[in-house]
Amino acid sequence: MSRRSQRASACGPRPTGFNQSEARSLTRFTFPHKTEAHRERKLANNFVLIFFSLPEVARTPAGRKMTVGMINANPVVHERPERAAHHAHAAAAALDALDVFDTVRDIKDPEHPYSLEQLSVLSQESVSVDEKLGHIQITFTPTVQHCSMATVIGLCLRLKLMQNFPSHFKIDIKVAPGSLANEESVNKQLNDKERVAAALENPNLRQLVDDCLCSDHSSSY
Amino acid sequence: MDGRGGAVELRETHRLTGHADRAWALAWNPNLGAGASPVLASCGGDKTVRIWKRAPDGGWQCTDVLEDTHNRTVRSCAWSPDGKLLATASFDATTAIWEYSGGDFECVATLEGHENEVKSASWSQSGSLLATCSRDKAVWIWEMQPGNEYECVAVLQGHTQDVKMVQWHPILDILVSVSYDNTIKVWADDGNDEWHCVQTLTEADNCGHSSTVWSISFNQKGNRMVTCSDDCTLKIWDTSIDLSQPETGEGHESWQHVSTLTGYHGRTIFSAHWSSGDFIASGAGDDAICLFVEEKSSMVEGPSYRLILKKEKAHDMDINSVRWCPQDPRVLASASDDGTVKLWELRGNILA
Repeated sequence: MSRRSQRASACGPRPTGFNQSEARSLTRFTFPHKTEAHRERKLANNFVLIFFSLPEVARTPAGRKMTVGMINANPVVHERPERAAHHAHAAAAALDALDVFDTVRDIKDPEHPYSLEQLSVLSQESVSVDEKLGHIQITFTPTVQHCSMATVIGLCLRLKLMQNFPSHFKIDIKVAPGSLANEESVNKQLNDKERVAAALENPNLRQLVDDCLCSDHSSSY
Repeated sequence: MDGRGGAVELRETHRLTGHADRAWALAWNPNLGAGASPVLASCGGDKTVRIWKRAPDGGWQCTDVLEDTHNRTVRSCAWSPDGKLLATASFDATTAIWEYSGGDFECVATLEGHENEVKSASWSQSGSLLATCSRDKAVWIWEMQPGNEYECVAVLQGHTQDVKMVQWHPILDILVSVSYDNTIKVWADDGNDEWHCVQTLTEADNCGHSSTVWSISFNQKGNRMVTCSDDCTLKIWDTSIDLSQPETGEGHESWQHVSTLTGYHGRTIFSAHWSSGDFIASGAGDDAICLFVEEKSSMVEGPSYRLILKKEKAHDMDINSVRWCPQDPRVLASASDDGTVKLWELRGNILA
């Protein structure tokens, strides 16, 4: 399991160190189905801005003209480690942290055509599960101190967990201590279920979140 | 089980299913015709409001579904004091007013003005004023005019965040709002139709909450109020001072913290409600319902409150609303993220 780190420019040449299937899966992030009209619609409705104070770039479809105004234009990208042979025997066993990690590791970053795992926003250590108490906690690490995408990442994590695990699980999502300038306010927002429910009913924000979820790597493996 | 000297018990009597998403809020109709059965309204994430009635055989049925008016979550609902109008607050930024006439609920007005999600609506005791609050940090006061017209008479700015709930005092024209900014604000008219914040209850100055305040309820007399919070506590306040009277001189009296109930819920407390029989119910993100009463024996140190019952796993998921039935103070309704509404009966001798 090699974990090479390298700097990648989001629009520049693709970093080396990816194998063929990796490269293929990455090209899917260009969202060819997104038209200019789609983008216009997003720009027209500033609901997203009101809710999460997203910068302009947030509403630019990923993979297109991403160099201007990015929050973190040059993230450190890690090669995606091979998947542990976990799921084969996990089905009948109790839910554990690896099950949860496997579910969220391939969520795409809202800004970059890489997964949260590849950007080290998440690692297996980010997840803790107490099955007895029915509790899942995820602590993620935004790539930069002033990452206004943190709330979107948090929404993605919450929605993915809600869609994949029994509904009685209590879910807490936090940013890693010290990883974000406005850590406390982001944590409060991410764990206010009323704000989360309203955010997920906002069509533009929901689109942003769905885009990060549907571009899952797992199908190519 | 005979209600005399036995253990206190909260027994589930009915489970009302129908909402296709989380059930957010409940409202019992406070003013039914003579001899009429209780009526309960529930609303939720499926964008509908459901009206539930007790049938002659004792079972409960959904008699009306109010839909196609709000296009996002209906966050809360409130009956007017005369029981004829139902206000519904929605994430679609509007508040709808429904009237029951000719055997049907009809949407007779839609109040627009908030910039985004409306979280709560509350009618004043006279029914002439309606307050609403929103994530836009504002509280609006609307005055009912003839012909289903509603005029905005005040926009109250003061909270620095999301306003979660508004509630009028049961006797006086005093309004209370609670917020994501952790504070409780009290608003009153200065006598010249100008509304002002007359008191702010904070953690630093008043022993207030340390996180989002979700809900508020007065006792019947209006001299006590309970609030509940994301800080997992309930707080009891002495509200016997009439803050609607103009201040006289320095050091005027104000509402005071009485008691903090802590350690009873393990997650956010979303709802608290004070019954006409002086029971306080709370519902929380730990799926439990707790009941409290005032401890009469410790008058030397001032009033204190004790837990009389904790119902664990009252629902499969978070409990968002608990409401006592005004016509039958031993009946409690609860609404949950699991989409169900449950009716409970309190049994046993509380004072035993």
